[in-house]
Amino acid sequence: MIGPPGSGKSMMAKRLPSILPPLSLSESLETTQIHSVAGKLNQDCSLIAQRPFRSPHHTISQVALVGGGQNPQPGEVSLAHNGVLFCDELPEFSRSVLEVLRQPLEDRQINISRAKYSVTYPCSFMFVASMNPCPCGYYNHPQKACVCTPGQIHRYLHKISGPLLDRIDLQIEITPLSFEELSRTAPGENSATIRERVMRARQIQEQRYAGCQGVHCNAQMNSRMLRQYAALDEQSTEMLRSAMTRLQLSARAYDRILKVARTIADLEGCENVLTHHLAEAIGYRNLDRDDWAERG
Amino acid sequence: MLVKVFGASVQGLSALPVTVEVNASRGIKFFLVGLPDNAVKESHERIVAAIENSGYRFPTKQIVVNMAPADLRKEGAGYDLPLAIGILAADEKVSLDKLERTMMIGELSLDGTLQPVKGALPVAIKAREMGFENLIVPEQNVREAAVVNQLKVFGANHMNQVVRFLNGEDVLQITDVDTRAEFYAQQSNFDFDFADV
Repeated sequence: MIGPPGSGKSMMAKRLPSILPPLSLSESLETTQIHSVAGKLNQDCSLIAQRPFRSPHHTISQVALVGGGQNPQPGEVSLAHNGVLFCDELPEFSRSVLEVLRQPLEDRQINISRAKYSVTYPCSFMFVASMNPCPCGYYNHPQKACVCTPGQIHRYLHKISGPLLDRIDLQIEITPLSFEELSRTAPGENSATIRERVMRARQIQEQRYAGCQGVHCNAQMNSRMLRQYAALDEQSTEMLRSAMTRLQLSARAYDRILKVARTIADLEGCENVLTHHLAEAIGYRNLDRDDWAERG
Repeated sequence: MLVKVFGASVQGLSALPVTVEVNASRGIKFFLVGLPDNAVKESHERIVAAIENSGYRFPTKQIVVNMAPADLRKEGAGYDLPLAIGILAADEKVSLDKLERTMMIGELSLDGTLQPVKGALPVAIKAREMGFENLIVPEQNVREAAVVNQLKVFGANHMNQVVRFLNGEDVLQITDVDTRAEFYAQQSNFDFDFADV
């Protein structure tokens, strides 16, 4: 999520666990074990019932993030297992710390090796990050003027490396609300309703992958299944081809766009992936465009 | 006299059983073998103080303690309780009836109270897998260990309670948590809601 200060990025991230499908007992047991080993369990709680939400401060070290130490302890990525890892102010994290995230994001587990032994901690988490578009924070703001030079903006955005950005499926720009919109009293959609929609989509996926071992949701599809379940019609293929060349997307991004499109279709209850699903999925790769900073 | 007490060591996300063997014979020395790290070596002083302050006497014998498997590095203070109980049992102050069906973990303070340890849940899972009947953990860890069913999980505050329990003089409360009911009750209990955004 990219947007000016005070536009609600952190607010939305904090509410994310409330719309995710509830933990199953076995998932909860895994997460509780990690917290038990780390000694981070509350005294009066037995099983962790809600998906964990971890938001480490940006001064965090590599070891604290992925785990390690003399007697290897689970890090923040493992504590966020089956939940959300939220990195607020992503460019403020040190570069080396962000790069260590690459492998756990892909493998969903982390292997910590020491001379005498090695341990493996699972870390299947949803990575959510928020950042400002530039050092002053107001680039692209509808009212406020940005005081940063193009060079500064460029440097700021390039603190997030390409490989990491490539792994982020949904990149969205958040614009601040005007006074009229803020003062409107009508409450938005509540979490329970959204969660129900998410769970319905999950159910469709469960049914679809009933015959495939170890696959429960779209994110876990391999490329062969992708061709089978997220097949595109001719028009969509053409659109994806032009998007790929224009945005110079990687093969991984290609797979991920298809998965996102499949998920959008599931949310709508559509059996096939249609052009507008695909268009929406491509639209979520905002930052992949090289000219984000120059576009204005 | 030779006795065996069972503890556990946590490696990554799983636990491994550790057998604490204590032999008491003539002499006045104390040996601790089986690859203990510093926290475990230091446990000697803690255990002596805890035993004396709980109203027992540290045996005036030659005590040899072996922690098996010997090639596994023993870390942390979770072995205090099995070591102390083993030493008392070797001195015939603790009956052996329940010992072989019981796994225990816990750190001791100098006055004999038990301190919480890390990784009680993996230990409980291992204890059930190995077919142990009882698991004794510090009171603070009891709820996380009680998640495991088909295992009697006891929480204790003080070493004395454990000794009396093993001798059959006193009963410890079995902690039984209805995890499922609790789990589902808390599942949709959120502090934040998207309606506020």
